[in-house]
Amino acid sequence: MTETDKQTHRLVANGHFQIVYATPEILLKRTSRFRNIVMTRNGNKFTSNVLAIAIDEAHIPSEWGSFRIEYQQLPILRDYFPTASVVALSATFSRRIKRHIIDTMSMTDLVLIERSIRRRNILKMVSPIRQPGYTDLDILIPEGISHRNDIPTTLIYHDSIEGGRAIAQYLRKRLPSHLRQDGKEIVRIYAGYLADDVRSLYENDIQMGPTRILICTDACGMGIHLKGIVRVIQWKVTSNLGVEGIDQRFGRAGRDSSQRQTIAVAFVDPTLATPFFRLSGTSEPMTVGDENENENENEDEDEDQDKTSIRPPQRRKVSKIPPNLSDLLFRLITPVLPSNKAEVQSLLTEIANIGRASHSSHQYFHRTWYKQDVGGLWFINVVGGCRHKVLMALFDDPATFEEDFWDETQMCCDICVKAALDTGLLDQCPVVHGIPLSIGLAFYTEFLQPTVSTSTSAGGDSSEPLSHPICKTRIDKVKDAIRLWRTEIAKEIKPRVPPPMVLSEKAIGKIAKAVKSSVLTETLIRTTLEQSGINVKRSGISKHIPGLVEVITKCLFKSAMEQPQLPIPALPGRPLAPAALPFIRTSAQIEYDMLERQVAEIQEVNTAKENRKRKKQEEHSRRGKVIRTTQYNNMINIDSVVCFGDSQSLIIRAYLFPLLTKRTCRQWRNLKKRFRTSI
Amino acid sequence: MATLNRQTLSSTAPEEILSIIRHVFSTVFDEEPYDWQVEVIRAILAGRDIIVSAATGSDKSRVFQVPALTLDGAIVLVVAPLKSLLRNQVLYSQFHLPLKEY
Repeated sequence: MTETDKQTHRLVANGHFQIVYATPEILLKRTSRFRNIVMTRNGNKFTSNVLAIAIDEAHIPSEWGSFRIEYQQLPILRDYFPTASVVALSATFSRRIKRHIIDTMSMTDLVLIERSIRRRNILKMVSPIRQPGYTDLDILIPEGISHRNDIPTTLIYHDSIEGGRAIAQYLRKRLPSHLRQDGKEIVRIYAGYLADDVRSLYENDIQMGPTRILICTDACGMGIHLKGIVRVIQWKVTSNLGVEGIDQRFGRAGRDSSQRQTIAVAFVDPTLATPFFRLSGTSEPMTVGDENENENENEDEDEDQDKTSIRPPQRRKVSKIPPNLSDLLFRLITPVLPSNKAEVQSLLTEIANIGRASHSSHQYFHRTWYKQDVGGLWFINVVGGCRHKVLMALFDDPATFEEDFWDETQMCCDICVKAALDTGLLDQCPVVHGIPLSIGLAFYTEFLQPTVSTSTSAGGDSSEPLSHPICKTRIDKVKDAIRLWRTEIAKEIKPRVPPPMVLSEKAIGKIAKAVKSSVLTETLIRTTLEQSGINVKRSGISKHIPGLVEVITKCLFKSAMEQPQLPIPALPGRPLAPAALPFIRTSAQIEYDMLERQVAEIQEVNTAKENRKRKKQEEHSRRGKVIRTTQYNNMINIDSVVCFGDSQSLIIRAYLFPLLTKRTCRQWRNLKKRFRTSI
Repeated sequence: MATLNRQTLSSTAPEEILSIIRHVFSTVFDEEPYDWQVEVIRAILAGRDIIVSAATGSDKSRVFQVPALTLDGAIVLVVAPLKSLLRNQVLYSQFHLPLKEY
């Protein structure tokens, strides 16, 4: 498309074509031939005859504006075609994006058409990844098949090409032996780097039959019309995907006129799921300091000096992570029902506010990743109502608060199926196109602790039971830590008395026992000490209790990895035991270490990449050929890094994410120092 | 195929516009237009700005394909984010729409 010859351009300029399709780059890049030949000449037939400018998938401009600069310039089209009407189309317009488009495209005489975005024939489901590797995808290839057509047509989305290849190889191996020789045809990868004719071939093959499973990167994410897809799988939900991305991809299923039941499953990292929000307790919302901000800004300017001219003029600085974010996380289980309309609407406003606070500047766009995710997290973690309803609420569907009905012929989501099973409308858990619905997250939530209400969670003084007790080796370490602490405070309180007189072994045992099975708080320690016969106030221990809590917490953090993981129960039918998840109280620490490792890995990969690039460039310059390199900072694939723990680690990532995308580690080092000292 | 004329568009009766839109839908796509599609197309012909939020797979692309076929000499410029998406739509248009060159 980009290399269209001059003649075609002239034909376009003379108004030969009725529908002209173009990417924003073709229209608006300064060096674009199309812009120079077709658009700049005044009064050619094309510019005077344009009736409408249709912006397809219009939710994209505000999402991708940061790395596809031309998207920010779309309003210029208004000047080129002053009489043309602008039509913005999308299936995933959130309130924020709608507002953004109306503002930037200066739409005044506006017609707003809001149709229901609900697709009843897609069963939308979220499932935790519970087995190592790609084992969870085994269900995609039914057992004992004789013909390739026994595999329902499937799209698998994964956001890295390497990962996509690995999935393809895995699935090809899983094919029965008589089909394995055609494995490369049955399972195919569809990615941005493929040539146009190859893509057409693949698109044709998945619709006509020979290809049964197509593994896609975003190239196939939206708008593409493929007929007859009955299963859509999103493998891992990354933070840059956002709820729009999830829904767009889900929408690829069932796009033919027959309204037959199709299924879309998002496999998510278990750390994204509810128990972590609910049990980790609140943590102090940290804010990004101003100094950090300025530092970042300077670097930005160094990096893209040439881009400064096209920044929107009304740039607003965002210096703080919204303090309500951590509170908000606890509310992301709210079901969308007619009865709690007010609650849902306040939640929606908050989500929209988070977006708006940071919306006006593309420079900060990438660091506000969490705002996209808030919607996604809600979609994943909602524990009642219907999953469709969350999407409908987010995308301003007029039918959001209408009463729902259960339709056995067109099941809508795993939560509804679970409800139908609970109320006896269904006797057994259905299997849709080979996917047992029992793998859904709704089935897994029955193992959760009773809901911690959002109002009490702020206090954190009630002693909640832990989902599974701390193991013996760790408790022994806690005891040792308490003993050390005892000798220290004994010197201060009663210098002449041996330490065991201050705190007996029995009392230590009791504290350890209490710590073993419930959430550690000061009140817990206080009551345990009083129960073991120590007068906390008079003995002078009282003021040392915060210190004790700190000692125990540190000890638990350090020994986190020694906690044994319980075996994962077999599928299907049995839900996942919560113990298969990493241990909750220390998840922040585990994750912190993990992130640190991954940052190192990513840096390594990046330097290797850059070295390679430099070598290539040197080689080319030796041959007298200059190649242009473009660096899309935001396009590093970091899906393995992104997993949500408690809100504290969420905030760590709020730091981390921009650092990764900026490929700079200076702030990261600063952060590391700060974080270490704060623990 | 009956088409509208730009000069006389403002004086054309709404019923006539509607019948032409229906005609284009039935001859080209062999389907009945939804009310919202007609509404959008009318707004486009009236030169208003439109935001359309409709489900995936609900034939949103019709609303910009049809005006190009309905109004004589009109050109619709479609901006889409991905090359693959463009190609998909262009192929479709080439095979299924009775486009003409002027």
